[in-house]
Amino acid sequence: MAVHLYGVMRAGASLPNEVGGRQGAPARLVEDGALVAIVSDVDIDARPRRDDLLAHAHLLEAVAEQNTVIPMQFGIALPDDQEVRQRLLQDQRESLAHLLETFDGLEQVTVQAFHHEEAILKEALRRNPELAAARSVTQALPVDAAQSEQVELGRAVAAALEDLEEQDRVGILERLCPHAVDVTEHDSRGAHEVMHAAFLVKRGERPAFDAAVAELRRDHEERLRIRYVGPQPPYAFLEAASAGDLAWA
Amino acid sequence: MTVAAAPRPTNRYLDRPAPSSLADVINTILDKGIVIDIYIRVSLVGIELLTIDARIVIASVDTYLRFAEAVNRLDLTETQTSGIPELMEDINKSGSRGRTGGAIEGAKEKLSEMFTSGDNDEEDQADRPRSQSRQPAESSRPRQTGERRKSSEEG
Repeated sequence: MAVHLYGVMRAGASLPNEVGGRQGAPARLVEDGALVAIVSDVDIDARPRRDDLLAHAHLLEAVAEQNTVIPMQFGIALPDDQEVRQRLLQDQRESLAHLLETFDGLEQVTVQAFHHEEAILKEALRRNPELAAARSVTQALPVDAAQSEQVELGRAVAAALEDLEEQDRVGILERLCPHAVDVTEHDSRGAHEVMHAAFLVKRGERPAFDAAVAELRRDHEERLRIRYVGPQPPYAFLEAASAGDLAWA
Repeated sequence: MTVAAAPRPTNRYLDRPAPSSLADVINTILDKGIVIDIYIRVSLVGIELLTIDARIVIASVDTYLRFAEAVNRLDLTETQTSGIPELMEDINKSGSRGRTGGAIEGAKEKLSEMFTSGDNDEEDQADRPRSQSRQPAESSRPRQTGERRKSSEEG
């Protein structure tokens, strides 16, 4: 047996009712001084499954709904509670306290937006008459003979899509950023992925942020698919906070 | 690439954010968080390698050909009268919905498969777009997943 670590809160913060941890074990708190660690007992010989990853993430999300929590990376365990107090809560007391203060009253939400392919391709053709013209040319050619024309057309389409993605990315950020304290964009994007960003939001401002996301969805349903995830611990801002790179902090 | 949008139960207008799906966990939060100097790894063979470079190589001939094919198939007849919608304006609701497809989704799916072995993850399945034409470029696939996935499936 060992103790799986989820995250750290200020002492006095409590767990939401009936939150389960990995392997169905109940989450519990280990306190030391001004800090409290969220842990659960785990069998470390058991292979971690997707349920373990989700249990870790969902427990932290449930906690983040009420309290600021500094998340541990998934997959860290210590032999017992005493080690949790010593190696985590005492050895890292200063940095943990700093992070808890930095993120006090804040939570992260993540927004990801995708273009619907057909709608955005039509939009690209509408905006770029030369694409429509090139399309007419390639459509008139025998399929086998038109390879280089097809590649050129595709290259031009890709460029047009990139413009549209950039424009919508900026538009979405302009709508959401006023409701957030900070934003970090995810660096890799997939096909038709317009934006992927983590926002740091004051707990009291969440309803305004929720409403802004709902409005985006409503206004652009035929063009954008929006995923909205959270609330989460401030995952995307931890590194910058530790390095002292948050301008507002 | 005209793919009919299959009916899918969604909470499209739900105001609150949703919990992370497995793809979110793998994609955005697996490698985030505090670590400590000395600890027991919770038998995590492979997990560290999950934080792959999922960067997509958009600029490939395959991708261009796919886009070309997609625009060639577009039926533009019903949309010629539309104006030029800007994001910040209202857009008329006539556009039909396509499907997002994409290599990164494909990559996530590959990763998701690593955590198999009898786990049900309906939420994750429901949350991700089901692309009917996923064509990830070869170079965008997660590297080195084959062996680990195999062992995961056996386990």
